Amino acid sequence: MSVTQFGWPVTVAGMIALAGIVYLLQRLRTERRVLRLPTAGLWAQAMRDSPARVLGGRFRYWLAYLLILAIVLLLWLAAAHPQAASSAADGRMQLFYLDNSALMTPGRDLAQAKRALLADVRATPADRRAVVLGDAVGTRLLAPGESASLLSRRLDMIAAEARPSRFGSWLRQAGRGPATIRYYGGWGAAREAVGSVSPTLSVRYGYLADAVADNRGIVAFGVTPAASGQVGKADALVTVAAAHGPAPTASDLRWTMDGRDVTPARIETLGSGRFVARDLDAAGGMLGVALARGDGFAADDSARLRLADRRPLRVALLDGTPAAVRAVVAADPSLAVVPGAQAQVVVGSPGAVRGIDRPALILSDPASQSQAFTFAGQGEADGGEVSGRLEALGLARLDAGALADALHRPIGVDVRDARRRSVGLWAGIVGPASPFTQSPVMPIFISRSLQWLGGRESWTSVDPAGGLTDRATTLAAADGAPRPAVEPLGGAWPSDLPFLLLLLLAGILLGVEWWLVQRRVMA
Amino acid sequence: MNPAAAPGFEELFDPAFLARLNALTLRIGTAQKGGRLADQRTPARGQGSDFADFKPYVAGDDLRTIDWNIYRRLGKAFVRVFEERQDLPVHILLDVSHSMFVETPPRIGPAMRTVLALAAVALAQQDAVSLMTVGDDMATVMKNVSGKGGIARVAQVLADQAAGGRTGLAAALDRLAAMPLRRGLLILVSDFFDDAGLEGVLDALGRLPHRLLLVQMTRTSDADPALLADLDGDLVIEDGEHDGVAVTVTPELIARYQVAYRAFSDGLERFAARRGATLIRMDADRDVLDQLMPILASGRVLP
Repeated sequence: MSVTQFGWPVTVAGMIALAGIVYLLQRLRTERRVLRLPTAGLWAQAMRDSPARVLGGRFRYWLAYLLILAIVLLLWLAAAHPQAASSAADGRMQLFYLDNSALMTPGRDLAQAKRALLADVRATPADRRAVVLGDAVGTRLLAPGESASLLSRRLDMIAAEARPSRFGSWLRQAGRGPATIRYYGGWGAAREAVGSVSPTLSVRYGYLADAVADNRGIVAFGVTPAASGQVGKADALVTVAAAHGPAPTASDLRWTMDGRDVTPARIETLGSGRFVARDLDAAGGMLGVALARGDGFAADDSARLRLADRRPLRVALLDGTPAAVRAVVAADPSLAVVPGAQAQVVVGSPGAVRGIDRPALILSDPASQSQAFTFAGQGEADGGEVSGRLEALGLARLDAGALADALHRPIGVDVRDARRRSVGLWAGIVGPASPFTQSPVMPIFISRSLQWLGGRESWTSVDPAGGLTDRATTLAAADGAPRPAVEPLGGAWPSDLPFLLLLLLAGILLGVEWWLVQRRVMA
Repeated sequence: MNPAAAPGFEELFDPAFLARLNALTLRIGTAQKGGRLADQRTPARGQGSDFADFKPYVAGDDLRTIDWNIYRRLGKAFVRVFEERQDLPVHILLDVSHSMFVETPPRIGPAMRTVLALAAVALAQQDAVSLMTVGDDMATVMKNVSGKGGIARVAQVLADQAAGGRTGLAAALDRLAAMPLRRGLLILVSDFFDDAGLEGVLDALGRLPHRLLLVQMTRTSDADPALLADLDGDLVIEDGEHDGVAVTVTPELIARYQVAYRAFSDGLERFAARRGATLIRMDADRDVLDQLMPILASGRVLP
């Protein structure tokens, strides 16, 4: 259940206050006067002869009845919460759309849009209005019939987000029924969207943010493994745009890593406002790029993303590590051999890795490990991360038949749950006489198994920055095209005026009743 | 609630008030014989001036009473027999329960003046007056007083009375019936509102051997409560003896009250008629003697 008029805190507080008032009224009930008569016994007899309540009989208190009836009816009408209809409303369903995209971030645009929205909603009959938020799913902020007081509290939780406007896509999905859409956002986004609006819909404007003069912004920002092939390096791609005038140059960009200014070793200009910063250290830091000179629309003046950690994986080769494995680790630049204490992953026989609380590649034997390949990790038995990636580890290209013939044992794979990751394989598989050692699959398997053990995921595509606007938003923010007039719905009087007047009148009549009772004019 | 005070001695013992009583007499048809010689007619035969009958002379009769004319005509001696007037035992029972004190002014004032007037008349005609009060219990406060000189004592006894709790009238009358008193006249001065109800009081009165003079202390507003200016709205009506009665005054309630009051009043009246008693309704708001004189001036209070 929801309390549409007040919300729970106010409702409960009101209940407590009413309980107090009723208690006081009980305490203030009519004090009976004492009349001393020797005939009290006969009066008692007359009272006993009187029925406690009589439905019939002559009705005598017409004025008192009319007064109380007026109070009750006023309270009842007030409970219905009547509102004055705005003269600007056209009688159709009013859909209020609050665009909280990046266009609303400059200054206090969103706050002003909220105020305008709230005033217009209050001026619209509750059953003919709905309020929609311009987020990804078009969240309904106020359903038809709900109190405007709920909207006020819900709007408090709404903030502008650094993303493009979704008004156009929402408008295309809006119903075909006759309705008036009232838009609160940026004119640039609305101008693009209203071109394809259904003829049954009309668009009006409750608030339009001011255009930003000469806006420039970052419209794309992403990162990819370094084209140079260097391990632990990444290239960052940034695209900038300008609404008017020349686009920013590379010298207009300021680069940061974890908040500290950095200067990329090389920045290449690709044209059309695109730049690539080469060979940045991919060590898990927060890479940021910003326009050195900001403007009135800050939402597209900077962008950030977190780089993956591409530094070489530190591997400790302990006792029992076959020579073939040592050779693969030494040849792979993404792996670095370190002492056991500094290692992220250890390799060795079961005895060598025992007691070391790190992911391990364990070279065992058939006596201690039933299957030739064993992968363990949290949730792996139920279809975890590695179970779907055995092919990616290179096992798909494994010639299991030849390997089984060489080892005189069937070759199988086991996946099970364990607190920490481990990969187990028979040492014989990577022995000098094993066909697996001669196979090109072996170094891929060893390398990718160690990367999986170290928690490194594949990094094959550009990782774009989140919370970034697009070119259209940057251009729309500076859209200075002639814009339609804003049409506020609020009239000279608040729409709640009838409700307030009813309450006031009921209060006055209650006071009159109390005065009449006190004066003994009314029973 | 503090009940109103009874009238003081000076207020009661008013010479002007007492002077107006000289012309009044308190007579009943026939008093019981066996008392002192006084003014009340009795069935007793003896000394007196009122000729009653003849009877044959027997030895020992007073020779002065022989009617010699009869002897001359008939040759037999007859003597004249005279009616002997004696005193009347007058038992006055005054209700001093709270209900007699509850109003402003209270009914006890006119009730005491009524008692004083009746006692003064009785004393003036040499009757024996006893005064009892009844509240929670019955008390004999004065016994067998006669002679005009007793009136001051009556006034003093009355002035000493205070409100005496709830009305136990029926029980008091039962006690009175059991007392070995010479039959006489019982004057009961009360509002007759009793815990036992009117029926209980009337039953007890019916068991008394005395002639009855019932003085009901009333007010005009008893029968017509609309005369009460304060009778309006939500009230608690108290009689000083019971918990108050919470009422909301409506015309319907007043009508029901009037029905109840008429039944009460008619019941008292019918009893008096059936019992051969005299019922005097004394309006507490009017002068006592103005109301008593027309009744007492007729000579006989009771048939």
